[in-house]
Order: sequence, then C-alpha cells, then structure tokens
Amino acid sequence: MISKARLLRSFGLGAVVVLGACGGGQTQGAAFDPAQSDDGQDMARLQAIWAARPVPRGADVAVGVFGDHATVGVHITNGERWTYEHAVDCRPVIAGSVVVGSGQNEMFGLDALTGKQLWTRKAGGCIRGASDDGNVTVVSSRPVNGFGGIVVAIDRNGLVVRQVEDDSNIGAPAIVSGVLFLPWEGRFVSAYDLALGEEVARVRFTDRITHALTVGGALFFGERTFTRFDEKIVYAPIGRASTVALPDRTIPDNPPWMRSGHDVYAPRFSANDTIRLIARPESEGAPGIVGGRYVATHGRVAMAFSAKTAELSWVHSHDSTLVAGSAYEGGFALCDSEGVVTFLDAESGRTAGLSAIGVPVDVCAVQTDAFKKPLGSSVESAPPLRDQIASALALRYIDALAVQRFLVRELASLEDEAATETLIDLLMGQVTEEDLLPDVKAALASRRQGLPFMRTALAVHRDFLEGVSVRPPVIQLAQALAGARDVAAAPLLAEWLLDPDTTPLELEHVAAALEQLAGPNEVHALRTFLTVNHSEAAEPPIENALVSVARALIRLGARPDVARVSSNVYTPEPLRTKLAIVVANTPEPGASAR
Amino acid sequence: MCTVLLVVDFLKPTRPQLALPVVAALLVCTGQARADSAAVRSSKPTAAVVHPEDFGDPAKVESALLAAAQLGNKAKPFAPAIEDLLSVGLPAHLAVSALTALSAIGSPSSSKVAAVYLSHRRSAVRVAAAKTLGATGGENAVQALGRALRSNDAEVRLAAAQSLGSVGNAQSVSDLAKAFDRGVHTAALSIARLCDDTNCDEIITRTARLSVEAQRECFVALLARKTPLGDPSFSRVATAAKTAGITFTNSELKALFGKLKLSDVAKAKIQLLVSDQVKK
Repeated sequence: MISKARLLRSFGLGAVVVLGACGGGQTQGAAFDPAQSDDGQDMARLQAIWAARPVPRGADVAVGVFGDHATVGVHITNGERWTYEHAVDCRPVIAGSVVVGSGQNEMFGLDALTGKQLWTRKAGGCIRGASDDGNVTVVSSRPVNGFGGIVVAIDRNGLVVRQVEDDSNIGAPAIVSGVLFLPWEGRFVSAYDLALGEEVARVRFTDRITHALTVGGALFFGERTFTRFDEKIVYAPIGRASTVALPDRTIPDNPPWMRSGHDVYAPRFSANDTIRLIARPESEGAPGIVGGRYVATHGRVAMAFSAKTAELSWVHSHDSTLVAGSAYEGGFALCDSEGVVTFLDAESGRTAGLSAIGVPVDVCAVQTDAFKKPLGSSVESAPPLRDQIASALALRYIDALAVQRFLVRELASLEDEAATETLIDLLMGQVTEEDLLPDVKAALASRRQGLPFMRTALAVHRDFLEGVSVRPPVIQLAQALAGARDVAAAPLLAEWLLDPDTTPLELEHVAAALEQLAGPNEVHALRTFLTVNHSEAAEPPIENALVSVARALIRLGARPDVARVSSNVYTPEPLRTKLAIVVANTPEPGASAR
Repeated sequence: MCTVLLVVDFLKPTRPQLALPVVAALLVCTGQARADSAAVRSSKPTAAVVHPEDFGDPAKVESALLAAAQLGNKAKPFAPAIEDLLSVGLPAHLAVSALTALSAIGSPSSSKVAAVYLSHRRSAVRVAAAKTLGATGGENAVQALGRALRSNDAEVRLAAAQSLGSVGNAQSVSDLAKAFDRGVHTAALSIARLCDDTNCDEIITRTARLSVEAQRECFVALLARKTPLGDPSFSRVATAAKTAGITFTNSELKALFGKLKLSDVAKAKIQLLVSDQVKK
C-alpha cells in the first residue's frame, strides 16, 4: 500500500534528480516492487492527485526517415520542414515535443518542431516507445538480447536521470509530471516515481496493455483497447474502467488498433504499417472515439467506419501507399510513402489540406495532439459512397485485392439503389481486375435493389452497327432479377433467350429466371426457343435451359408445345426423357401463378 | 417434266409418341426414275420419296428437301409444308436444307418462319435463314435482316447485307452504309441497288475503299438499276466512276443493257455519260 504522503512527495518534486549522464539512478534487478498491490487502489489514489495536473499536448508533426542517414520532419500546422543527418537503424518515434531516434549505437533526441538536436547518448537496442513531459524524455528500448526491457529517462541536457532495467517486457511508456507509467508483461501498468526511483502504484488489466500514451490531454493504457487513466482506473482489474474498444468487425487482414508495444520496428515500412487502424480515444466524458469515426488504412485506401455501428462511412483512394496516420479532433492525418500528409475530414472524408515532408519516406510517424484542420468552404462535396468505393476498386497496386474484395461486399450491402449501377459498370467497364471479377459478379447477383438499373443494363445487346461490343453481366442480372421476382424484366430476358450471342451458361440462367418470371407475353419467345433449339441440347447448360423453358411454357398453359417437342424424334433422347417428366409432373396453374 | 409432292402430316394424338410432322417429298419425273443422291443433285432431278414412317430418317428427309430446292419455284405449292416442318423444329443440318429449299422456292409466305431461324444457336442455320429472307422477301424480311445486320456473327452480317440488297428499300441504306463502314464491303452492292436520289451518295463516296472489281460492280449496279436514278445522281455516279478510272468495254455495256432490259432513254443516258470512258 502506498501512502498518500509518498504520492504527494513524488509529485511535489519540481525537478527530477539528476544523476549523471551515464548510468545515474540506474535501477538494477527487480524494477518493480514485488510487494506492490495490483488491485488498482494505489493507482486510483495516484489518479486522484494526478487529475489536477495538465498533460501537455505534443507537437503536431510528421516525421520520416529518408534513406539510412536522414530523419526528416514537417510541422504540419505551418509546413516548416527540417532534416537531421544521423545514421538511422531503428524507427524513430515522436514523444510529445521530442523526436527520438537511434543509429550506430547512439540515441538522439530532436526538437520535433525544428529538428534541432537536443541530446545524444550511447545506446543499444531499438526503441519500443518514448514519451516526454516537457522536461524529461523517457525511452523504452528492447535489450540487444531481445528479452526484458530497458527504460531510460533523459533530461534536456542529455543526462540520464533514471535507468530501469528489468527481465519483464516493458512496453511503450508515458511520462507525466515526473511519473513514469510503464506497461509491462502485457497486463500491468506501474507508476514509477522518477525522483524516488521506485514504483509507487500498480494496476492490472483484463485486456492486453503494451502502450501508455498521452492523447488530447489524457493518459491511456492499451493496445487493442484503450483505458483512460481516470477515476475509474480502480475498476481496471475487473474490466470496468473507462475502456474503449473499436467495434468487432472484419476488416481486411484484421489490423489491430495498435501493434504490440513490446516490438521494435525497422526504419522501413512494411505491410503492417500500410494496414492499420487509426482512432483517437475520448479524453473526457464517456469512453468513446473522438468524432465517432475510426479509419482503417490498407495500402492506398483509407476507410472510415462508425465507432458505434462499424458501418462504412467513407472511402478515400490515395495515389501512393499510406504508411502512417493519426486522428485529430475532426479528422485524420495520413502520411504516405511520398512524404505527404493528407488531412481528411472525419465526417465526409474530403481532403481538408496537405502538408509535405518534402521527400519520399521509408517510414513515417504523425502526431496530431492539438491539431485541427477544418474543411475550407471551397471544398467540393463528397461523392456518394458508391462512387468512392468505385474509385478504390479502380486502384492498381500489389495486395489491393483483399481490400477491394472487402469493398465490393460493402458496395453490395448498400441500400443505395445506384450501387447496383456501380456494380454493373464495374463488370461492363472492362477495367475491373480479373481476380476481383468473381466478387463483383457475386455482389451483383445478390442485389435486390436498383432493379431499374438492372433492366437498363439487360437491354444492352452487342450491336455491330452501333459499335456496341460490351455485354451486360447477363448471368448475374438474371439471378438478381429472379431473386427480386421482377416480372418487368421478363421481356428483356426473353430477348436474351433468342439472342444467338447468349452463351450456353447465360442461357441456363436466363431460362431459369424466365421459369419464374415469364408471363403470357413471353410465350412466343419461349415457344420459339424450344422449337428452334430442341435438337441442340447436347450441352448440359442448353439442355437445362430447354427444360426450364418447358416448365415455364407449361405454367403458362402451353403444355402441348412441350409435349410435341418431347416426342419429336429429332429431340435428343436425354432431353426427351426430361421433357416427358416435366410434362407429366409439372402442374399447370396458369399464367396467374406468375 | 417433273413435279414435287411434299406432304406434311400429323399423326393422330392417340399415338403421342409418334405425333410428329411427317414429310413425304415425292418427286415425280416423266423421265427415267433414279433415286441415287447424285441424281437428286443433278440438273435433272428424278424421284425422292420419304414415307411417313421414314420421317425420323434424316437422310431421306434431306433428300426430299434437296429435291424441292432443285425444283425452285416450281415447288412453290409445297412451301407451306416445309414451313410447317421448320415450325415444328429440325436438327441444324435439316433446318439448313429446309431453309435452302424455301430460298429456292422464294415464296414470301416463308419469311415468317425463316426470320425465326435467325435466332438459331448455329451460325450456319442463321446464315441460311438470312439468305432465305433475301430470296423470299415478305413482310418480316426487311426488319429481320436489319436485325441480322447488327449480329456479332460476320457470316450472318454478310448474308444479311446481301439479302437486303434484294429485298430491302431505301430506308435500309443508312444501316448498310454503317455496315460498310465497319468492313462489310458487300453492303456496297446492296446500297447501290437500294439507294435513291437522296442517299446514293452514301455509296458513291465510299467506292474508293473497294477493290477495282468491286467498284466496277457497284457502278454497274448504280447505272443499271431497275429504277433509274435521276440525272443529278447519274452525273455524280458517272463522275465518280471516271475519277475512279473505271472503264467499260462496248461489249460490257451491250451486255449490261441487254441483261437489264433498260429503256432506250436510260440506255442513251448511260451511253452518253460513260461514253468517254468506253474502251474502243
């Protein structure tokens, strides 16, 4: 149990103890007190005191790595850029107003807004995470041997004020007013008083915790969910703290909200960087996601979802790979491989502005703690979601298929009738990737909305004179129209029945649709098809089509036509047998059954 | 002297398994009867008989249809029987034979069933149907051939373009011109036959794209139409022929005049207009 006096003491220190530039204040062995309770009571007391302390906002910057020897950045508010030359072996991180990087066994801290070097020090291992409270930068690194954790606290002069080493995996830390918050072993967070050099509170979580971070003036712990450090922190051990999770929905390649804070990352972006979720937890009030939206990036596509319903809200198609992002109040800042940061309006997905690092980047990080970027009045209104999806489906890049297949399913589920037209255009436009075609076809076949669009498409036949060489997706239209029981489509289907350009497989589906939809006006076409083609039943699809047509004719009172064909010596024997069965077994309810 | 008897019969429905149209084609010639197929195809057809019980024998049915085709319009009384046969449905090769027979007979009443066969799955059948419509004419012919001209099947388009030249009208010219522009050059001759003073330029301006022989054929068709063009059109045709370097020998002109039985006035016009192009 921690005493209130001790907690107060830990916060009362205006400055941390300076212990020297190398190894000062080092805590060896068990960094975390074995006697410490993890029930959250101490952490709640700490929070009660801590609540009055403002959490400084971090700098609004984007930082990238260019080549293996340059860290580059831009102040996204005013566009000022900087470059810092130093070997880069590990991915740099933005920690409040500081950028921390490392290379060739040396760690460096830079002013995030200017790129000015604040300090350097010898260090091994790559950075797991870092934080800065305006006075001290705390850096969590993975030891060279890959096990345990090393945390160093460095002041503005480059002096190490505390170093913690432990056998436990320590994740990305946060520091506020001289108190370190260290997530460890994936389920604990310890508050560590820098001045005292000891753990002063601990809480365990039911969810996985590898990150501590400050956003919007609040402190959070989490990885796939985030728990705010507020008065409910005492309930964390029973899973009832102020925790927010993103909706459980399938997104291509299932990116987590954040990747493990125990891992370290190379200064080159990987597939995992291009496939990620971006969301900002509410810093006050009921637990939630700022703006009610979160974004999933996948290659060159960004998709916004409702944080409550998980419904797709908008889709942004990008001209280069999205490698990093950050949410801000009212929008999302996405950094691409060209070093351009694009600001997207959270509500509509429209582009609110750009900021450029100035060079292509191998890796990027964005911080938008205090950033805001309202839409300008001149920004055009967003196109409908169906068109946004169509734009994303037109993108061509490696690994696009997963997200495009996902978007096709989204398109198919839209209530918007015109989404049907979009699906038809994708199939008739001859620009859709071949690998994606089966998905688009299945999506169209499943549609029950937008019937007028289907009929319009079905009316298009190849026309040599008019130069019409495209054909509608006849099979899928027939399936969809039959599924919707759209009798108005029957005359159009009948035209396909008699069009020699119709493939056998299409015939099979057209005839199946007509079996349900044909009315008295289609009897002539049905009869013609059966009469003219009954001797052409060698192919199973055509035979099936003939049987479907026979059933439709009987339903429409034309049983004698079917009987005549079923006994025609020129009708192939298998078809004759099937037609005889149809004649014998199909009831004749009349056209009214249509 | 030959006559052909083509009989279509429907057996009583008490025997539904045989309730088929039965065709008997009886070709009777006054000369020596020879039933071999070579004779059927010869210029002097002999007899071919299909008994009702042989309807299921495609070889015998085909022989009868070939015989009817050889008789041409003399088999006109039997056109309805062949039409009925097609209305019931035949295998592709027999459908072609039936359509060919109807084509040879040339009865306008056949156009309805021939038009239906433009929707057959087999290209050969559709081509035969298009050719038949060109021979029969009839109320459905022009419309059906107009649709066939839009077909995705080049053979069908070709046949339709040619047939329209026989049974089409001036309204067919615009579609034929489109077909020509898309490579159906046989449409040129049809346009030449169908165009009137308002749209013969459709072909005059296109002849340069044709081979010399095809150009010559077009100009002949334009100059020797059954319904002669008016003088302005005549002049344009003659000028175009001259520009194209098309020449006519006297014997060609003579043959042209004789073949088409033109009026003296028309002959004089043609002679006058192309006189400086005539090879002496």
